[in-house]
Amino acid sequence: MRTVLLLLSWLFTLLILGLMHLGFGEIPPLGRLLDPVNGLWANAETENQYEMLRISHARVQQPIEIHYNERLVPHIYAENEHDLFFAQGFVTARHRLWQMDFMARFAGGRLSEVLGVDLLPLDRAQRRKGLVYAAEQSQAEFLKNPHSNSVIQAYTDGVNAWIEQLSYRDYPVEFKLLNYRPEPWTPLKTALILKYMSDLLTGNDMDLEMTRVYAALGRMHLMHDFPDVTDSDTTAIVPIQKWPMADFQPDTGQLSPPGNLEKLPARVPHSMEARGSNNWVISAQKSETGAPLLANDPHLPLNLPSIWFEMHLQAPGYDCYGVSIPGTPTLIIGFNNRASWGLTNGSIDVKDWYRVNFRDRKREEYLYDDRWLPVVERVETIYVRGGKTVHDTVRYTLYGPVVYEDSLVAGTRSGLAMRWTGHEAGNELLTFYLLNKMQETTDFEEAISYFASPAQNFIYADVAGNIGIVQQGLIPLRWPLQGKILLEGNETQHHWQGFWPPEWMPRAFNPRRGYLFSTNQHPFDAAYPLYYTGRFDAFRSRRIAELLAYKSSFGIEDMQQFQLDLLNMQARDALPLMLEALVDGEIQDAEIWLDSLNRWDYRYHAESAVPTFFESWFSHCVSRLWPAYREYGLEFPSEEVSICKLKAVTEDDSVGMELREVVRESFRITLSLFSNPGPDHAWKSEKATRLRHMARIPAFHSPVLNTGGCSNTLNAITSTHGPTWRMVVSLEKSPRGWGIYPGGQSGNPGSHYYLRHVDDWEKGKYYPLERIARDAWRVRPSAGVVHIQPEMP
Amino acid sequence: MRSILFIVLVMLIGVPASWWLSWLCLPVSAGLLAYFLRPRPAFLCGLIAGMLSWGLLAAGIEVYTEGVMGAKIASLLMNSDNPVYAVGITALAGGLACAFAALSGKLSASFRDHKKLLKRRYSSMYSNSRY
Repeated sequence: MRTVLLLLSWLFTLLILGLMHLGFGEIPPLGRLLDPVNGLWANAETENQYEMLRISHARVQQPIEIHYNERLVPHIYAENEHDLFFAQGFVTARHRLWQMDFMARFAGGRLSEVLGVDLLPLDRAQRRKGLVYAAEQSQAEFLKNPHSNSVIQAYTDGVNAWIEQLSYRDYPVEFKLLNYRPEPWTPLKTALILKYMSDLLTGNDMDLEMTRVYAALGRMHLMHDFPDVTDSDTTAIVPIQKWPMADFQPDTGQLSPPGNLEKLPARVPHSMEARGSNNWVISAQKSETGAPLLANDPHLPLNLPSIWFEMHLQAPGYDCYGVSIPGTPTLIIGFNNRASWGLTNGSIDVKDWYRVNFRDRKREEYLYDDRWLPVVERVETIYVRGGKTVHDTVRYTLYGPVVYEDSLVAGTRSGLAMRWTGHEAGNELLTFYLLNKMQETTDFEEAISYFASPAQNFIYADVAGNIGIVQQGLIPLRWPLQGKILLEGNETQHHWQGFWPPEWMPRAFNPRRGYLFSTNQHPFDAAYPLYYTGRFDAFRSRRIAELLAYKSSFGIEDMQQFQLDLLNMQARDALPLMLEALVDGEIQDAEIWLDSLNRWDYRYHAESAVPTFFESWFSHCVSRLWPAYREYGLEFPSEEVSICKLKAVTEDDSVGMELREVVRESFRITLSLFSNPGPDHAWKSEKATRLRHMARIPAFHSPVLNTGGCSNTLNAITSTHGPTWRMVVSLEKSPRGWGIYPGGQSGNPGSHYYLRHVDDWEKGKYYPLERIARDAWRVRPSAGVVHIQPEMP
Repeated sequence: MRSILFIVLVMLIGVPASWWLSWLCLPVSAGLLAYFLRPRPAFLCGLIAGMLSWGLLAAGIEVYTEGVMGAKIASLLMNSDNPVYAVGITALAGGLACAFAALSGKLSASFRDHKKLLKRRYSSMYSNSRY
């Protein structure tokens, strides 16, 4: 009996301890996690956690000093560029290691390796898109150039120097929770993160939907309802000018939509929710500081940790302040001692789809111009945690990878190949390295010339008083409609005809009007001679154009107020038409709402219920305006096009009458959903903006934020996206900057710096961005210091 | 008295050992100490030792770091933002691990004693039959 009792006791003890140590299935290893010495509690930090750290490393050439300011922004001082980037890698890994690992795994299709089989479809999709292939092309370019090679190697060494000295206790909390360990950093991972950004910013990918519209309704209908440029594009990025290619005519192919559309996938996954951005520059003549002013706010997913990591890099010939993307050396947006730059996404479509026809079911050859060309097979090996390793063969054609095969009807022997500028070799890292160091306009132009994908609107200002903007990146040379719809891959003429040469790119420097801006709008007016496909609605561009033309001079506060502007031009265009339609209509019990709508200033304030009502009403209207498009996988054409259609409400004909009835019916439905314009319907509650943890762990999300704005306001905050870095720089003799991003410098949810900036970002505050001299730290308060010494031989 | 000594020693040995090795040092030390010290009742003494070790540590960290982590752990494990729950569940986890280890340690010691006793009886029976 005693023996049985003893055996049972030991069995139970070992079972409990085993479960607590290793976990089982969905049960986490609670013993390891809850151990206050090494587990989750060990990641709790005090505010003065970073007071002093001294290390030595064999790869460091001379002593490096890092001082943290009160917001944990590192100011790195090195004696040479190698050590500067070593320190950048070291300090970024110190605060954002899990984020770097996660982004590289996400881009490279390696999440199921640590998170299990549920993530396999995502991993497979990333591999089939050729993101790893694209990163390998970029990596080869980075390593080919001596500057970018040296930068990326030093950065990689710095990240690995941090990883090497970690024990389980020091692991970021997500590694413990998800039960895996950090692995060494490589240049390929940096390239993967840049491709993750490139993929994130590639939009206008509606080729399949457009093809169905074209096939069913014809070319005229397609171009009318889904235009690339319209007469209302009065706010082009570059002013009207004489273009060098005015007489150029690209080869024009015979365009016809492919047959057998029912055998295509229903839709190709894509999302472009509010991934726009704003940037603008004011000349010294229009600036109250007497120096050019530059503003930039990229609108990206509102994640935690933030996509940005703020820092100041200083070494001989290098003195730059701004934000970096964790995992990527150099600064992506910022300013140095002579100049400043910012980015917005170009609206150009840089991803096209081709249907390729395989010779047989082996899919080893495909038809191209009456010839059978061999595919290049690339076997993607995906390791799955707790499951079988998956091998997926991706076939590469002249266009690029065949992304969709098995989603097609079996036996069709065809697939969808993707042609994307992201697969082309480019050296974006060299672009940012040179931008960080640029001193004048020619340096700026040289720096951006290495940038490939996707095309970005680079804005520029310097202390000499120059301002400029250039859309830079690979832009395919196409004939009209090419790339807007799916093309047959077996015709040579459907291939891109090369890329635009540099002199054709949209560019403008020092315009007479004294300002330049981009909000992802169309870069040219309708008179531009070349075909440019892809567009964003021009609501934000019209608003900033209005604000910049309003006064003769602007100060820093004006710039900040513009970034926080909540006026929605879409509402200003649409609401009067919608209210007009209600006149003479029989609408009852609507006085309170009608009064609120009539008095509304079109601003999306957080506390106001009127934006909530308007959005609901507008959305009901447009869903009734375009009932036909649902069968092509589309909700409705753009809001601009919808408003154009609404203009007919004033007509007395049958179309006008029908439209008025649509608007009235939508109003009645909306009215039945809303009680009164009180706090219950406040816009902030409807929108429920919050910063979400990248691994979607709710405990690490921020609370719901008290923010106004929508995707069409300059302050473009939606429920999941928003201005991830607001920056204003005055290019005085010694440039001064102000900025803020939602989140905090630390990626550790157990740090006081994790959500440090959120309240101030929500309130629209800015922090001074100071390029502090090393000696100044003797008298300035510092949140911490790191000394990195070369290892003694 | 022996039980109090057991609890104090588990805290003094188990917690520092966890710093250098693994969290398993806490239940292992509880098991070994129960084997040698034989606290009574072993399960309860182990439970108290483990709960005090991890509970006090977790509460100390929560206070020292101004409550930065407790609510998040509570939210992760119990869908609540009350840090007291996080400290509570941490204490309970430490307590249970030590309780079972202490029980096994104590039962092993009793088993060893019982075997010795039987051995002595058999040997005396053997000697009686011889003489």
